[in-house]
Amino acid sequence: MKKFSKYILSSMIASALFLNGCSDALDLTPHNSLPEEDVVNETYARQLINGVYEQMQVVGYYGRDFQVVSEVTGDNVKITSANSNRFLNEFRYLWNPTLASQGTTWTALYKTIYGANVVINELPDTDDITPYKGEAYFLRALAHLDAARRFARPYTNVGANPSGANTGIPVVLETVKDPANFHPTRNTLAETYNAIIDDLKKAQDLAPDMSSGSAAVYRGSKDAATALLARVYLYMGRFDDCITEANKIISKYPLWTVGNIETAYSGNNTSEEIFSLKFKSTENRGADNFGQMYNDPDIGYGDIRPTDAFRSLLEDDDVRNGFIYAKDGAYFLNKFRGNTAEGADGLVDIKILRIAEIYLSRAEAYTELTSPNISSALADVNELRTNRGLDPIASMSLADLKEEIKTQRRLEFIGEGLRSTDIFRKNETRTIPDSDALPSADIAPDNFRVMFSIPIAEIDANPNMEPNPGYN
Amino acid sequence: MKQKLLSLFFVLTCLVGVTFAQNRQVSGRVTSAGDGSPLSGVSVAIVGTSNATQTDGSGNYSIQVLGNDASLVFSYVGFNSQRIAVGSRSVVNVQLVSDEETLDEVVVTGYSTVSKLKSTIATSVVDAEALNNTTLPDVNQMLQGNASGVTASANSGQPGSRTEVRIRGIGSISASSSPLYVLDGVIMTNGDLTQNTPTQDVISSLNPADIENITVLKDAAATAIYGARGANGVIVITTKSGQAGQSNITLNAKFGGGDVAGKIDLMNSSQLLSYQRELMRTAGMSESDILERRPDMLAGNNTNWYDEAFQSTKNQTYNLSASGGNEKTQYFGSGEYFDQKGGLVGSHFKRYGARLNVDHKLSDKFDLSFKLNGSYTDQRSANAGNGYASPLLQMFFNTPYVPAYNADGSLSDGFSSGQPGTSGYAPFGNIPATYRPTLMGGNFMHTIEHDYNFNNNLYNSFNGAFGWNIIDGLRLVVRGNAEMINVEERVWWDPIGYNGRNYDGLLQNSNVKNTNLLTNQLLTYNKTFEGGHSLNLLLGNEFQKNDYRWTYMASQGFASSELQQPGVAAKPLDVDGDREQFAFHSVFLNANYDFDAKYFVGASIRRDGSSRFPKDSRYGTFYSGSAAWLISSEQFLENVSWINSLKLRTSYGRMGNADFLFTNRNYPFNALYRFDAVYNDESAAIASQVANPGFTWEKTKMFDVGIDFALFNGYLDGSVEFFDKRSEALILQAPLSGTTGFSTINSNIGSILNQGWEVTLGSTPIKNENFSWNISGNFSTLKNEVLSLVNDNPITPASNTNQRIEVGHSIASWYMQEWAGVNPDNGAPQWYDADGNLTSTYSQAARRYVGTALPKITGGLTNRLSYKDIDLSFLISFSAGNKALNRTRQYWENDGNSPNYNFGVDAVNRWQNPGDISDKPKAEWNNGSLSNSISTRYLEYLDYARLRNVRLGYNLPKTVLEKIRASQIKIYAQAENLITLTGYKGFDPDVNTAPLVPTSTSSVAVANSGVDFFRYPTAKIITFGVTASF
Repeated sequence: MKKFSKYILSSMIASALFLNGCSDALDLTPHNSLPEEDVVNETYARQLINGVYEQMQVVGYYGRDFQVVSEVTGDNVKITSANSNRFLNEFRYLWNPTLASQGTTWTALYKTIYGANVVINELPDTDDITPYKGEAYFLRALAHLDAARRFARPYTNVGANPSGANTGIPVVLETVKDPANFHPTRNTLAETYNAIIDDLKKAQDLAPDMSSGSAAVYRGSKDAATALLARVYLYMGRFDDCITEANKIISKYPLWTVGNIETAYSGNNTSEEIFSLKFKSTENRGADNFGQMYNDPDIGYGDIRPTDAFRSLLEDDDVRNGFIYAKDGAYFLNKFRGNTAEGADGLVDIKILRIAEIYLSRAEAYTELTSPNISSALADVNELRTNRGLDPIASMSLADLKEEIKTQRRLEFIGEGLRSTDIFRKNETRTIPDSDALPSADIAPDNFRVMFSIPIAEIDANPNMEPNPGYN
Repeated sequence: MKQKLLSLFFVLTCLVGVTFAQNRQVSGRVTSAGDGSPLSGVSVAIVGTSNATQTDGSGNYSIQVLGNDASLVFSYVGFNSQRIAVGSRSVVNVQLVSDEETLDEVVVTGYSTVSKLKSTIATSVVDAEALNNTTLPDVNQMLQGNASGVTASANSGQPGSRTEVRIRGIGSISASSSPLYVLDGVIMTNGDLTQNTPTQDVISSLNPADIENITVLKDAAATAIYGARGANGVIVITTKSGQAGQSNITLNAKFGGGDVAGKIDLMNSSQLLSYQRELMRTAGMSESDILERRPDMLAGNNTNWYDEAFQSTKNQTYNLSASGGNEKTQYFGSGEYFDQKGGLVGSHFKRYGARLNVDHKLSDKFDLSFKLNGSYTDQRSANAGNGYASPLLQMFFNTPYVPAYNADGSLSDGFSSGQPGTSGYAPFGNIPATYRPTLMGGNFMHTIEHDYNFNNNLYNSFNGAFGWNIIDGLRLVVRGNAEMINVEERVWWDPIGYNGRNYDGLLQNSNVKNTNLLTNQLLTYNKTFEGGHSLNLLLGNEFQKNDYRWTYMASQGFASSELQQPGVAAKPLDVDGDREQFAFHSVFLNANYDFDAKYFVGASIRRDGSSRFPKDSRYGTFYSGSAAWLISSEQFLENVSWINSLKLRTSYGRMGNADFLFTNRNYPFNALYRFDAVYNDESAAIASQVANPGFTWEKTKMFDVGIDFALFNGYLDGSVEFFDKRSEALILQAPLSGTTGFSTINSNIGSILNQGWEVTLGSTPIKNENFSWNISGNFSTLKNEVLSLVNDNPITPASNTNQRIEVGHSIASWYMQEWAGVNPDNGAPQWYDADGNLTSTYSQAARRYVGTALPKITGGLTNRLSYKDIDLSFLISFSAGNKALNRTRQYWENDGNSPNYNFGVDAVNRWQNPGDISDKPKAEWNNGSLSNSISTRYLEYLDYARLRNVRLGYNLPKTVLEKIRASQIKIYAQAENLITLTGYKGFDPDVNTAPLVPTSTSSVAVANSGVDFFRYPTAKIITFGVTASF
């Protein structure tokens, strides 16, 4: 027995020693990530702000879905029975809260906002970091505006009610520290837009400088904030403010000319661009690239095609006719053929803000003033027209001019995701009369579907989130 | 009764004695191999004479033999006879092995071996014969129908694909519900290690012919010694060992083939032409428009895409094994080649494997054993069903109008300008553009000729153990195991193929290396004390570390289809890679005590720590208690002759689960920023995980009670048991409001109940000289219910939005719109709205709970008949009570909502005129009624009974065998999945129903989770084979 207990004892001691040594062996850390406390500091400031841009490039946001959905819900493009089963419910206004693309867009928007909040709130205010904060203010404003465009009514829409409860989206300005207990309510539409304006003003102060053709176009800048602010004021119906902002930058960025417009959308940091997201060949997602929904079936899916109404707006001399081409009896858009420098089909830089929009926004604002300034508006429209191969207009009535501005806006921005907001902020009805398009009902501006449904995952996880009315 | 407990499955052999005079006495003792109990009444006869005797009450016998050439035959009802050459020995002890599945079988628990008679735990054993009855490469597949409480179904019919095994239901949401796999005493890696392959299972690297048996450990008492990872049950695999004095060489060859089981009838071109014209007519198009859009010439071509996508499966297996040895050294070695072509074109699986198991006794004190195994597998995967270039998808989407070949006879690629299948195809030029029939993803036949997805898996394991018998009854075994897996994947998209056309050719190479090191030290003590007390103690310490590394690169721009190396590419596209590790450490103690071999009590306790938890909550304590009462040994049952054996057992325990399935599965509790992001050529950091410092083990409490019985002298045996398994502190990726910037937080909240009955019954109604018939069956029931969740809020899994997890419902509950048939007046589709009224507007249809994906009853029935030299066995497995969503049918029965695909032939039986009663609504071109949207219309019952296996064998008679000195030659024919009885309209009712982790991004085409979305179907296979042993 003595021997026995000796053996037992020694094995137990051996195990105990082994145990102690083993305890440290259980401290393992990941190899592609760092813990938060090591990352949120000065050293990684540049990586942190880069992360915000990267977050915006996911397929569910500017990688494809956001602008495509904004476009197919408009009337410039249609989907026919020759399709790959994508975006059909969005085009036909037949979605419900479980529709996947809304869920991923919502998540992407708020991840962008979170990343921006970390840079704004958690980093010190040094000379190096302050411009990054400016960029972050701009990006935060952009994400909130995109969320408002998707999940709330346009400010001037007939059903908007800007001071009503739950008419906006949740505005998140602090870094969320306790996510498990964070259940924000929706702000009013007015609060949402005011928060966006505040952020853009701060960005105008702090963000880096920008000039036409500079590589700084791929990051936020003072001018980008100004351009976005002009867009926000236009959407709100604050026409004077819109003109003021537009005036700050309009002479800095030459429009694309008749000579260089054909390849402009596929090019890099071109003259018109004020803010774009850079997509490099490492972001080549093959069939999921942005342009592939538009490129004809030999190259991409070819699901989304220009409507007859759109094509009829083009005058013969318009250089933008070059964006449309016919193939095998159908018409396609080749604006997003693919960035020649990166060599991948459908992979283009997403040009979010460019000067053509400022010209048209300013023109629209001039016509909407209480005492409209027709000559200035006409001057802006003609500036665009001449650079698009069209003859300048000598004179025009106010009503005709408003129509012309609308037309130019459609022709210029097809595919760039502005149309549906434009239709409903001006209280028009969206209708697709093309016989070969998938049938859809007309959508009047007071239709509940002008706002997308809040995704089911959000409603389930956040009891304070008020869903949009009309969806069950 | 002395009991010997070993850490390996080992059979004692006879001792060697000394020779004396010619005519001499030979004596010995006959015991049962299972538990060592003496067998009385065993017939002992001298071969070639009529001299015979019988063993007495203690199993002893004594007989006179002449010379040194005599052989003795030992035979006893219920046991395999043995013929032993006496040689010059005077003492010959024999252990007879039972030939039925009675309570005398041996149960291997991974750390120890115990007789079923004495065990208090709930187990199912699948023996070698049942394991070798299928031609699938994967051992898991053989569990279906063979073990109660166990369900096994494959994600796909791709040979080598992942099989999901579940024991006693689903107990986890964000953690794995797969059991732990133990191979020869050490935990082995299982699952899909690949980076770029649709589906693969490491376990298909294992040769099923090497396996002696598989024991499935089901209750708390059995699995608690695996503590941390025993919550889902344990599958204990034991490979074969040599036996002293019995040399044996066995050759096994089989070959066969078959086709996909199940069929779906699609239209041919004339049927489709008239149907599509009808659709257009109903949509109100004019006759002239219709003829222009669907001219007669289209019926001139009839490509049968369905036939082109499937091929005959072929398989062959060659297995050579040798075993033998003497008392000091025993060995088992094997080599094999396995080759199977899958039912879908472009898929196959090959395996080359070798194994050597050696046990060596250095002396009475020391012994060692080592097992070496190496295998190389070669798998080519068919395109997963969710890709446009997949043959499975295309056979439904492609219309028969489009030729697969060009006019000159070459295969068309389906996408180059002017080729058939493109909108520029000249013969279709007169058809208006948007109506021209085209191919969606090019021509898959062309793609398969040029593209491939290969993976090669090199699996090596070295398992060594050193045993030391310290003193009588006390033994120490130190074991170490190194398992190294290397997977090389290669995906090639040819520049001239559909997939590669945008890249000018794309090559993706991945390399995965997984190293799994484990060591354990086990101290066992067995002693029988005076007065009938018997004690077994097991004290152990174990450490495991796993290191998973992978790299990936993609390169594009290839000038030639012939040169497929990364160096030749014009441009690198992507580079990726990472490394992950985890480690477990545990100490455990297991004690078993029995009194008089009648009353059994067991207890175990284990303390586990894992690198997956933060320091403060790293260790968990797991335990179990069990008891059994061998009622049949009691006085009051001694005279009840019809009860041979009756045992009541019960157990209760607490186990754990640390096997997560979400991203960052090995580092789930820290707040992390990932650096694998890039913006404009600069590195970027993105917040990837929310911190949870209190994150810890998932715990499961299981209660089990059962009765094992053998009645009527072997005419009836079986067991009935009940289990109640409650999983708590469920690891859940609790959903967060998206406004936080995160979607989920890893937490321990929630609980699930799994409860059920398991019944096993067996009988040998007839057993005589020439004919025997054994029948056995098992079935189990399962009730699954979610008991609590985060704030009791229901969860809609992002991975399967048609299911919902809510308190009070089963975990894989279907939640969707309810189909209400077709309106006989106007043919409109109908659903139920929130008030229970009929509506024909899909957005008004309300979602409801409409069933579950988990089966309520599963089971199997095995019949074994033998008549003289012929034997016949068949296995039927069945399952009922669940439903699957047949999304494939959403496409081929779409009522014109997507008019450009092919349709099922029965689409003609739709509503056409007011007053018609049909289950298919009015169909028209570009319908817009959304009648083919997700609803219970496509949710089908998955009840089925399948003749999984039929085997007819002929054993060459002994007279022939003796002439060629063979010990056994068997010729057999075998058929698998021959007949399936089911109402399910898809190919195969064997859809894998285990739910996916809610946040998983896996495609259901690959992982199923109750959804049949172009799932690669299983095959019906007929095989012929020969087994010869010498």
